Amino acid sequence: MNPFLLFKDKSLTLQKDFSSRDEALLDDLGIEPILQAMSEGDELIYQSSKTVLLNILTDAESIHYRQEILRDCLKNQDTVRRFYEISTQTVEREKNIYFGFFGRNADSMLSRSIEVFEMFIDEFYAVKKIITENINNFNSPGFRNLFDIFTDELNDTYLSKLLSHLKNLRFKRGMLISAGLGKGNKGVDYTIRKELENENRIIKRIMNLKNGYSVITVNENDLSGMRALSDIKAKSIAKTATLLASSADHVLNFFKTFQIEIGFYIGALNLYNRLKNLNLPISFPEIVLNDDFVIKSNNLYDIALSLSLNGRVIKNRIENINRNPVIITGANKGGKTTLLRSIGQSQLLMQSGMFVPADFYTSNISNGIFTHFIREEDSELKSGKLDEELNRMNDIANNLSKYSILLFNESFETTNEIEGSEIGRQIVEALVENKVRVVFVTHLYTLARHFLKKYNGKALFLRAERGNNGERTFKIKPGNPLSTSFGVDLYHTIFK
Amino acid sequence: MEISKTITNMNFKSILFKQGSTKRYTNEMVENPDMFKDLNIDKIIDGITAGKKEYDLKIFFFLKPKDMEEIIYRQEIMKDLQDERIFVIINNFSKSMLEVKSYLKNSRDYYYELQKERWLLEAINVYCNAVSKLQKELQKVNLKSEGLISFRDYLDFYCGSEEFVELKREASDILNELSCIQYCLFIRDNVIKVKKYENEPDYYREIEKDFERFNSKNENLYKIEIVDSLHMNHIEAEILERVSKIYSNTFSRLKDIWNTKKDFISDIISSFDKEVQFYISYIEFMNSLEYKGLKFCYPEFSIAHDNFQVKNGFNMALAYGLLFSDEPVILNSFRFDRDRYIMVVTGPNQGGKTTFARMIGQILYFANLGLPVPGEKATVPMFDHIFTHFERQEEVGTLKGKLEEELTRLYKIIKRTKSNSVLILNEIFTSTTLEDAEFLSRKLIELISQKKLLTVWVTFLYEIVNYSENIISMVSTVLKDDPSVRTFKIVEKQPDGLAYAISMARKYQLTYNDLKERLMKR
Repeated sequence: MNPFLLFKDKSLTLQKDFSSRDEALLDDLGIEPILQAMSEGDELIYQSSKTVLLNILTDAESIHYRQEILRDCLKNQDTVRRFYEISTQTVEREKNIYFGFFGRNADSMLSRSIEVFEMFIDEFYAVKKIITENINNFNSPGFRNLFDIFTDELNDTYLSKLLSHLKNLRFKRGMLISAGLGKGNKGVDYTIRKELENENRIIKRIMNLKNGYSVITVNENDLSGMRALSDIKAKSIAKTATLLASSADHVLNFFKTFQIEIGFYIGALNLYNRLKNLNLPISFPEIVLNDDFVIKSNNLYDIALSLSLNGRVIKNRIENINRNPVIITGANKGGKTTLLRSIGQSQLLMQSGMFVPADFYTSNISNGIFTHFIREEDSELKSGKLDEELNRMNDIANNLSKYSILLFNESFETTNEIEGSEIGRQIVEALVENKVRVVFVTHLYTLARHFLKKYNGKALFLRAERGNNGERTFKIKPGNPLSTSFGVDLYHTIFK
Repeated sequence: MEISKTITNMNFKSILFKQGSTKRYTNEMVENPDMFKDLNIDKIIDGITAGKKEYDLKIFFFLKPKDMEEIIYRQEIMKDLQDERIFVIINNFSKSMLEVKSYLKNSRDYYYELQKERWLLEAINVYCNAVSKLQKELQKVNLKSEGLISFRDYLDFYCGSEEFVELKREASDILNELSCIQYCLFIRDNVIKVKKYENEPDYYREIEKDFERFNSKNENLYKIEIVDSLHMNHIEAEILERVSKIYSNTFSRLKDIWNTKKDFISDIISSFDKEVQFYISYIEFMNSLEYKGLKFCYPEFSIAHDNFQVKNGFNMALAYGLLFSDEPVILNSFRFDRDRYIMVVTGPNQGGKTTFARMIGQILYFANLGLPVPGEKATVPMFDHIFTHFERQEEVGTLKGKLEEELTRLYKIIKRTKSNSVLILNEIFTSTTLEDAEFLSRKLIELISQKKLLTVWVTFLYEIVNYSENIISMVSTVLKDDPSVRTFKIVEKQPDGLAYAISMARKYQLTYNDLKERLMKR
């Protein structure tokens, strides 16, 4: 029994530990502010969204599955938020049911499980009620399947049968047990049995429990005897207690998973509302189903930056049809990193089943999204930094496969131009030849010029634009690398 | 046929000592305890016997076989046992015997009579099955060693005896009946009624079926650990008492066994079970090292005491310590030639010299126990004693006092040596002047040469290799390109006196080339 709202055939497990590579991706692409906007302080939504975003989908069908659910969510915001409330409340109620001082003892485990189960059945009825009222407003296969669980698997007849078992397991009328002799003639295989007799016979048997050689009466002051008696009962119900506790756990996990999975969509709704309020464009991305390297987009923007600037951000247009690598050059602070980020964000959100920050965004599915950004920390020696860069690159290479996308930002600039360019050239050529999609922001003119010569017609060159009077526009447009740096611009801006 | 069988039965005494009794053997540990410590042989024996504490095996590793014949007796048994099939047969038998012993202990220790009786029955049953199984399975394998073949003959005789056959049948019958007993308890408040089981349905199964939908396969998380010994409390005992009345026939047969069969184990089988652990434990020890890619071989024995050579041996104590590490164990070879019987080991510190010297002693000792030794090929002499002289860290005092103590110890050792003794010296004369040390070393070499003692000598005094024609010079080596990296390979060559100093400079990057490179990066 699983909600299956994120995957058609499996559930999401929250990931708590992420590789340094994932943390770098988060940092480099500015994902943290996006997660904050999604979760609005709800820790669970935060974790759920983080797990989803860092475990991207790599097939169109799975992406569409989520897109359809998200469309249902956008149409039924109130109902979806109600589901999140009920699942959250159920998980809370379970936590508050007392575990007893000896949590591991069969008796207390069984009676707690009975109580927990009765509560769950209560909440099942609550969800069933909402579903009955809203079933026609949902169209996605994901929600349809979830509703089927409640209407079919958890039908009223079945739920009342469960309630009657829960009542029996309180053993109000005594306990019938069978056993055999094990090693050392110790009693083994204690098993609870169901009485064959009707109600009257049972009462009669209870009356007969007074005498005869086969009857043992434990003196109520004999504490060790009374304990021995309850030990036998505990052994007999142990398996049942375990079964019930683990079944209760299953149901609890169902509610937890429901909460986690619906939580991601609540996060998406929150982000949607934020961006809409800032009058920013949002669209569902379009997936290109071939192995080329395509990115076509208009009014593409960096969500993180737009959230911090209240929507006043530069939007870019980009059109790459199977050029690889994409090399972005140009002035410092000319918006290169922002463009790189917005590409990375869009790709990530697309492959998480979400909407993207653009009028439209058309791209292929990548096998993985990787970032190799310059590190800001300045404390180490240069040699150590290149070492660190190459070490990170090595780690990425260990995890790369064909059709992954790798975003470089000012990489290999911790060493000199010639060395950095040579390292970069060798790495990028090897990547491109192995069908890894490369977008490379660089100041290494030697590197850019190499690709201009050798990859003419194969590589795409973009450049941070400069207005006629030398001021930066933050727009990135197609353009070949220029040999002079734009430090002159900065000089004039600062020394005006 | 019958007659020859009986004769071989008589022949089987012990799987370890061809002549039977161990009384005439000397205990090397009592005789020469320093050697075990200095060569780390104590650690190896600890490692070998670690999983077999209940057998008290160590003593067997202190008793050296009397002669070549006994060494061969053991090597042959060892070879048989290294056959996977035979090993498994014997090892399974040993495991069963452990079970027998623990049940017997229970039959002595338990309080309630009905429990004691049951434990004896379990012990007998496991014993009979284990012995029969051993006998049957040994028929199916091709034994080559004299020791195991005559043990098998004994087994054939024993298993055919009427007493054994009868015991086995009775035990299994009663056990079978007991295991079929099923009874019911009806418990309400403080009252228990005991009755026969009358096919009342299992309620757990019904619950399980109806809750199947919620099966999460994580039941282990909620497994209730019932901490309960197999002892009974008085309530359980009372229940058992009632059950024994319901099934009185079975329980009276059990009582008969208890009254008549307490002493059922054959002495020969009992001592075989213990002694064979000598081999089993060593095989398991070898297997664990072989898992790391290390090789063992059966040594050949040479008459000449100075014919001693090993190809790609290793230090077993070191290898055992690295069992759970990725670090490789370095292999080393050596060869004492005719007339070159003093091996002087020099080279950088922490370069594996002492490890190497210990390896030589270990191989010699274990070969002489009749066991396989580290290496691909080995030829070893027989020896009377291995004498060791290792620097003692704990004995501080004046330098003079220390040298005095050292010389006294050496003197005593030399006095005890015979022509087939072996001497292993590690860093002696460190507390005195170079002049003294060289002088003393020269003298010591003269003494060694007089007795032609097979000697391994680890020292920083690389000059001494020139003192005698009888010396082989071995050197611990470093990487050619990076002298701070030790290879732990010990090779035969002339001493390289400066290697240590250079490797130290390299380690701190203070050589000319290192320093230049570092300064250029600034």
